[in-house]
Amino acid sequence: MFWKNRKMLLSAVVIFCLSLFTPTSEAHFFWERLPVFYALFGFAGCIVLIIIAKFLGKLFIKRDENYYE
Amino acid sequence: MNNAVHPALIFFCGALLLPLLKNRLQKQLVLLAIPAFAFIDLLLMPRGSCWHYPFLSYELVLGRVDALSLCFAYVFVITAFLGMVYALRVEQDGQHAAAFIYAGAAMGVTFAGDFLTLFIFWELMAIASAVIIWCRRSSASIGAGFRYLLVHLSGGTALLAGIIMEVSRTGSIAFNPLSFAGAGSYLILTGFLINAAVPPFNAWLSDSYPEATVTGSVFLSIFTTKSAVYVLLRGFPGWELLSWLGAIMALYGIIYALLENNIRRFLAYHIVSQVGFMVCGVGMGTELSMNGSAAHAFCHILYKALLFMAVGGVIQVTGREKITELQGRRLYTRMPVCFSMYMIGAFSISAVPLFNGFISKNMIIFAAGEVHRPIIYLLLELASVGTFLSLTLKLPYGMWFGRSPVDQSVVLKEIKEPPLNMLIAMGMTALLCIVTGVYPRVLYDILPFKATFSPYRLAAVSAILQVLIFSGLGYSLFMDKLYGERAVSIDTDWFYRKGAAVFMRWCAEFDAVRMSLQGVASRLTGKLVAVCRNPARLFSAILFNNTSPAEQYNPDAYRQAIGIGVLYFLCLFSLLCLVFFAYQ
Repeated sequence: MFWKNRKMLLSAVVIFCLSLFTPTSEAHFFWERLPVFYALFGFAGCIVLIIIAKFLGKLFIKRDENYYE
Repeated sequence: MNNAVHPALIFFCGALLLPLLKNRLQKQLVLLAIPAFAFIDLLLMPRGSCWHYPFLSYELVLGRVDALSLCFAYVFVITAFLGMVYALRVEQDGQHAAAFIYAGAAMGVTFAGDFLTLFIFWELMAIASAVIIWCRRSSASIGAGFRYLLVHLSGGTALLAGIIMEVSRTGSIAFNPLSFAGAGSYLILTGFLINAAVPPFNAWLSDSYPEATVTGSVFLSIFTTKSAVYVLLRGFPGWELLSWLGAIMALYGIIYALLENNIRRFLAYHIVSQVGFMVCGVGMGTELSMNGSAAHAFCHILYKALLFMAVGGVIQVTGREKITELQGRRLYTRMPVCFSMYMIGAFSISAVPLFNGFISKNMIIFAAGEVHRPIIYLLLELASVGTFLSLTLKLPYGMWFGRSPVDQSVVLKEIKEPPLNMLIAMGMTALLCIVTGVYPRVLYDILPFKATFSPYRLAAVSAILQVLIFSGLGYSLFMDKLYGERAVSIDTDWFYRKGAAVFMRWCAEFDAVRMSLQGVASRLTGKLVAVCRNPARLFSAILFNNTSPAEQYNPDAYRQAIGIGVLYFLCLFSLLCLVFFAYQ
């Protein structure tokens, strides 16, 4: 579990701190100037994708293994 | 002066040569020599247009050699070589010959300067790849191969119809960027989109690739979709529709991959997702985005071949291809080399800095920023998150680690590393992934357009590291939700797989009606025949109510009587004629 993995957590903190000092001069969109946008995007995006996939899977995608036989 | 021959010809010669050789060593030598010759040939090919042949009132152009076609041709030949190293121990000549024809046809498509040449090589590619799928010789692969072939032949028909309409409109068969005019261009686009596996035409890919042999699926992952990206770059740069289709496709593949249990189908859905990036780059149509598509196709072919090789190694050794059967076996302790190779492929596709996905995928995403397309930009970023989530976190956890076996009944045999040639092929491919990632100039120098891009900027590296680390944290919350499940996913192939069953049921009912009608007709015929055998009996039955059993028909019974009757009649008729002519 990554929560319990110290190295993982430490690198997350380091990246988080680094992101505060990243230059944003060449940004195309306003969100690229927000210091920790990509960290939040990665975290939220991952959860959103899992939830959407699970939801669609339950809704109609997943079928029994012998569905086509 | 042109010292080169068409590279397709080299591959076709290889395919013809293979069955003639007796010695296994000779065959292996040919397997490696043919792609090597083809590569040397590519270096000799002159830039510009060559191999023009008049045909009817048109001109066929077999060699359009420019930066775009060479970029794809290089990577096709390189991975054909790597695939052959991987498949060196396979003793089925047919499979190697089909792979050579497949590679040759892809080269033909890449250098085709006119629609007719394109179409011929396009169809050849479909047939050769179907043969590769059939080479596994299981009932599932035969079924999947036929479905694959039907989809691709339908696509080819759409392409041909479009070509005919377009040629009759413009009067030229030259393959140049198409305008929006008329149904012809849309039919051509449909043909291309089917090969690029753009939803809703994507299901053939995930249906068929996992059914091939482990070596076959490496070849399948190389050519079809990427040559479709190539023709899209040629024919449809800057079509707005494509950028949206591509972005949706990138996410579509991810959602299905997250639900998938079969490890090769999992990779197949990632082809859909990654080709989405390329199609999106074609749709944006700027020099940078199209360079990005070409670069991403190049890198994708390498790391996807590597992933198929590593996963194929696991299947080869364990004989299992479902996450539920592999989970919790701690395979990484038994096959550490194969595991490292898989992780290099996974880091490459996830665009981790220093691996080749990073230098190509970011080019497309950056291009979306440059043309200011915020929604497409975010969709592509989200798809990158999903790629990392599924290939670097979910699949390794399922395939290599895992806490405890899900399916206790499955017992794996003695597990060791896959054969040496497979490991060498993986090693060479992994090396190329890292070299292009660390030193992107080798790839950027052969890109078709002038636009330049520097991947290793602090902002870009920081952004990708944030995304990767924090999506890892997000995943750790939901780890157990993504445990393997025994299930299949229904995709758009549902329409033709279930639809075909319904259609066949209708056909059976229609056939039952036909059979009963035919029964009635044949009974009537039987009666008519009985009557015709002796028509005189019918009269005697009707007139004299004669119901005595039928006598044996004797053809001579009335012959004399009828003969005499006809003779009398002819005599009378001749007499009448004489009288008529005499008195006229």
